Amino acid sequence: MIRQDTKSQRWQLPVLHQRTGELTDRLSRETRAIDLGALPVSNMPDTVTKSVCGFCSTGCGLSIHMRDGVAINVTPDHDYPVNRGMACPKGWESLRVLDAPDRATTPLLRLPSGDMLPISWQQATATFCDRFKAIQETHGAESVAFISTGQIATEEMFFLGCLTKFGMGMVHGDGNTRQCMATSAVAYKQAFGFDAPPFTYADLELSDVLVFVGANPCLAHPIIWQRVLQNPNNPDLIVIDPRKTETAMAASEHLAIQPKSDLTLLYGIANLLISAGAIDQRYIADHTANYEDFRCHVSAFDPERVSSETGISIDQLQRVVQLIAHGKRVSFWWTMGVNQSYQGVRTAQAIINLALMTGNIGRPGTGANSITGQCNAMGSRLYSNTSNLLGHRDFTKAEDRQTVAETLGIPVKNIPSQNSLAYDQIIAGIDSGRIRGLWVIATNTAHSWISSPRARVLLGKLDFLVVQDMYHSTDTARMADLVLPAAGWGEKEGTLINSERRIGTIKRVSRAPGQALADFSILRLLADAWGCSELFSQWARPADVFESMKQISAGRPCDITGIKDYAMLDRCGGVQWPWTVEDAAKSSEPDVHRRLFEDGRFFHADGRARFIFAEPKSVPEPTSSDYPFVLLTGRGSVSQWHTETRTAKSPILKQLSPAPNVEVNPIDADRLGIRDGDMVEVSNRRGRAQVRAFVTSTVQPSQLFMAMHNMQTNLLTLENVDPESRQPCYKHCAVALGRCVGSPNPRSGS
Amino acid sequence: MPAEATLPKTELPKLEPAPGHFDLLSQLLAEQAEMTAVEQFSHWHNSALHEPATAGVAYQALLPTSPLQLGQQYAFEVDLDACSGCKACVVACHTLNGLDELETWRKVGLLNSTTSSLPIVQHVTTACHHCVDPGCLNGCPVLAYEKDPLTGIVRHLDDQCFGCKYCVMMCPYEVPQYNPSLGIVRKCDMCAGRLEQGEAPACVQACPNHAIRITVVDVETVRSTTSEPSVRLLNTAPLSNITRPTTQFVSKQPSIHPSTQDVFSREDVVSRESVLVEVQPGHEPLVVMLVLTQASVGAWCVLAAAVFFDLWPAGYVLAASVTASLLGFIGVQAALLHLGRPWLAFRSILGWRRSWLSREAIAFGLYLGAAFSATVSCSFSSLNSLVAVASFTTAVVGCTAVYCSAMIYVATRRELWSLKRTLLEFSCTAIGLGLGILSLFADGEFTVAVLAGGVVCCALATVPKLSDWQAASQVNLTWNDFSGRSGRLLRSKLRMVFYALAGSLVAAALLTVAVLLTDNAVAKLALMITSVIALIVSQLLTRWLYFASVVFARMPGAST
Repeated sequence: MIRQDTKSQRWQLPVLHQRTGELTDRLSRETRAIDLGALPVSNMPDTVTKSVCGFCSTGCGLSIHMRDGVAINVTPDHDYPVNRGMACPKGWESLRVLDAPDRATTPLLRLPSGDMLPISWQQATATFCDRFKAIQETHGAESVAFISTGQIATEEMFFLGCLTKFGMGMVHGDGNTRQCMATSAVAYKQAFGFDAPPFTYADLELSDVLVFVGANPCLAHPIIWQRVLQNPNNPDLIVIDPRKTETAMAASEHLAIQPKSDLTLLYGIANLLISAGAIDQRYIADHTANYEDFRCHVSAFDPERVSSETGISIDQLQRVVQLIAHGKRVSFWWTMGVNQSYQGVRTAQAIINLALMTGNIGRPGTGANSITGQCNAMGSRLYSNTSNLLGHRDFTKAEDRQTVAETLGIPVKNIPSQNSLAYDQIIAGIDSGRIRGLWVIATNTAHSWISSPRARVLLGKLDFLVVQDMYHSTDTARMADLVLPAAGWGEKEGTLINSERRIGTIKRVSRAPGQALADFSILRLLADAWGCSELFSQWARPADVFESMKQISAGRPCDITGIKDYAMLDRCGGVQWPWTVEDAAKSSEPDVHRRLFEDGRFFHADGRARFIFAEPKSVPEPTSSDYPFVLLTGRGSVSQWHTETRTAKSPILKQLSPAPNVEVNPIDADRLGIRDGDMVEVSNRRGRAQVRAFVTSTVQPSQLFMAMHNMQTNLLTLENVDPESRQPCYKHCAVALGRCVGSPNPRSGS
Repeated sequence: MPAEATLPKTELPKLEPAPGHFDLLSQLLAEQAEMTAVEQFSHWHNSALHEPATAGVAYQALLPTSPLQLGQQYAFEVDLDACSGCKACVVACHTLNGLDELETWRKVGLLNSTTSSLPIVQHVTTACHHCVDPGCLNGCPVLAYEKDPLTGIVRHLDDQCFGCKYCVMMCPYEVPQYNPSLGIVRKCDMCAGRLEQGEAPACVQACPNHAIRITVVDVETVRSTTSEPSVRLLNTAPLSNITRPTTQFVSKQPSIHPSTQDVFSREDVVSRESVLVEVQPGHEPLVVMLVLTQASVGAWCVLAAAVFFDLWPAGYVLAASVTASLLGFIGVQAALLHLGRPWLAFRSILGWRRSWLSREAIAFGLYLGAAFSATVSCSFSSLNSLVAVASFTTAVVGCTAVYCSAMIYVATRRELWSLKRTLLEFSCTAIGLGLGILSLFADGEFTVAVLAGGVVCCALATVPKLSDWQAASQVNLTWNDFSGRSGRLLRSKLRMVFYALAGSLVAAALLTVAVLLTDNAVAKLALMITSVIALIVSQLLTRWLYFASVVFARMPGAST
């Protein structure tokens, strides 16, 4: 394409004009593998292996560049069906975050002085068992609980749930997935009969109308967003979000509703669709139940009421209804704006209802689709043995306990017959003295739990707190009595399950620092020290647990008995559940994209989906004259992940994320004398945060936005959960805004 | 929040592991150290290193389809509507080009609206614009830049660079980045090597939304579209007529895209860089270099006048000439501290055809020679006319060199570094310090008058910064009110420096008055020396503020 220019190669004294040399060579690139393209010679791999990404639920495939047996670099996998050669900055920097001075390299024990003492694994496991057993002896086996995570491999959370509940006698354990996906899980379970996100990513490319509710995939799921832009149908985009997000910028209709008026809006849209006759009577009759009650319920949501409660004009409502009515393939997508709400389950079900009543489900380009948060939230929902018994079963059902006991060869008496407390109830249980010991794995409660000051006080009240994490520096690890050093993504094996139910593998490609061990190995050590390892003797490697997962899934909607092994997962570019032995008998490899409910049969006994609804409730903390602003929260940067435990370790990711700020509308800023970049104080009854103001019209007047990555945000949030899913409502609380005391007032001209 | 020390206390555990337990631990630790996964899985992918595959094909649509014609060049085209701000392009550039930690040749900035009724958030991916008239190339004193005559790609020759960082100033988009550990700047080459092989540049192939592509542009078209005096790549970006950038930003949002008519009336869609002001690098070695060389040149000017009018005895003239020359010598040496690779300083004259930095280097070289000769001639008190001619020559060459110094910054076209402001600052510093320093060698009744003249001139050098301070009193400053925004820096982050500057000038003035009121000769001299030191301090601070408080139109993303 480009010929070398010869004229510019004039003769020059090299010392005077040095065109090449050592510095030029530093950046030289070479192509050795065409599918990897040109790579820096300084970082040339000798082989490549593949792994799915360990950050978000998109579940991108990554090519891990290896040299001398160790990972040296990461590029996105061109062949993986999820991301097709793309990754967001977090994925690109996956390896970099492993290398940090604050990696936990030995177990650490808190001394009476408060200092942390490095100890051996023998001492650590002995302490773990001595302390937890002593607490259990005094206060009952239930008094020790655990907090699991959507950040570890499915095999590890499976083992963790079994070890704690079947081996150690614990009853209560929940995951940080309670903070992201509980609402979707409950909504699906009630509506469809099983926690079953029906979609495949290809649906994003097949729709002609896409509705995003409380979702900003541009920032939160950028690699999913590429599918929207690659949709060849020039689709209409409807975005429901109080803020003008990047996603809302791309919308044909942005419904900038009043915060938490989403349920009213969705019922109003349903009502207008019914009035317009834009519903699929036949689908409703054949595949759903409870429609008539639903129709009666939404008839009260006339456009005037909806308009006044949501702040959306009747005109725009009508336009949106017309788009949905005329859409041939309408898909509905939601994330945390819906899930993290005090009435999130009903809101998610209001979205499901729209899909059901218009027959937009089970066909290409349709669906009521919850995009998951964490890389393995889906794995947690099915296999963590926390809120549900393994394989999304019920602890309270004797036959479910029997099946699990037989499948795993575990005495049925070891399986608790009661449900676990949810995360918020475990936290409250510390307060009441019901919970005395806590084991926290790969999550950062002290930062991320809603209204974190109370959570921190309560963590401090525990008789014994064990934190198992990659870093000894997390806010929670710094409060621990015992820190267990864990290997992270890239340092261990297993599988992750993404938003579209795709199971992919992770690989051990990098050496864990010091004595850090894979969570799987830590569990084996602890089982051994506890004296219950014989219960789990069949699990020497994660692949062994994967076999148990397959057996546990047999006959369930999430049946994966047709998946042979990890090698098959790699070969197929991941496999979406279900994939049964019967499926496998018919076809050696599953189709790359498969969706649920194509036959219109749902998982309830009668095969019908349910219309579920309720009267909208008012917000738990309305604004007042003292606290006149609504504080919205959410993802603030594509380059940071949750509490930044990992992502803050990458200098590039740090550089790419904005400094902590609060978004303020120009009208409010003007009224309060706040200039862009000023230090301001956001405060309420619970706490105060000092951050820089970012004056932007993307937030509406009387609303503020702060990113969840900022530790200060949860000083303000209101501890309040959805009664159905017990997921905290991070997205709404009342606050005041003012300039920081001592900062100069621009009005005074000083 | 509970203090960590108040947490439950724990006894040290027993050290007796269960038998067999230790064996399991050793086994698990050993497993952890083995990359077994790779042995098991990677062989499927070994073939990737030998067999042709299809990765590049997906990006063919993002590359030009036809070969370049005469008068054309390659350019980046950015579809702003597709840029969602994911910044994958930035990390891909970093990773696929093997750049150092924190080094990225692509950046992503943010435009947002300050009008409540116009909610807009727009991310902007930006890299080198491979300009038709590149500022980096024009400014480079060592010819370390080439514009490929065929592709138009502006390439940096890393081994030729000596790390003067002038290209960073000369590029309105601040594209070249200084790498302190290497002592050179490096920049985007549009992945020329990849393009040669038909592969897309790193950023192009990494964008999930296909927002970046390589297009072919007509150089003449770029020239004509950028010749309008107010055209910018984007709102609040630098003026395009400085270097004629080739990047095409396209969008259907009329308020962002400048090629539509009324975009510059849309003053409310602004970059973060145009709202928040940052303290810029103070370039301390350059501050010392500029102030000392200017003091030296000013001193020679005063000296030339003194010789011409025969105001001072020969002994004083010799001492003054030695002092003036020494100042110049030290000043020029200080410039070496600014260089990343000072041993290559001799290359600095290569770019004399285009670079004011080369011209300054040559001029100060000649100046030092002239000053040395003049100093030598001063030691021969009998050669009065020779001394006069030599002094005068030195002063003229010195003034030329100071002019070259000024033009280095004027050439960047930053408003606060205008010819008027820069020449005023530099010449007042020269004359002020020249008078001040030579007052120590002046005779009798002139002494205090000369010093007072120095104080006045040094005060005049601060007039631009004073006017910036004053301009900041306006409540609502627009993004391009650079003087007022610079004044805001002087009133906030740089407040202490500004007070120190004012204080040093007041001190110099008060000390000068004190000299008048003192009879004791020793005390007089001590007061005068202190006053001159205060003057030098004031000029160092002024020059530091010249760099640190400069506010200029910046490309979105420049501050990230």
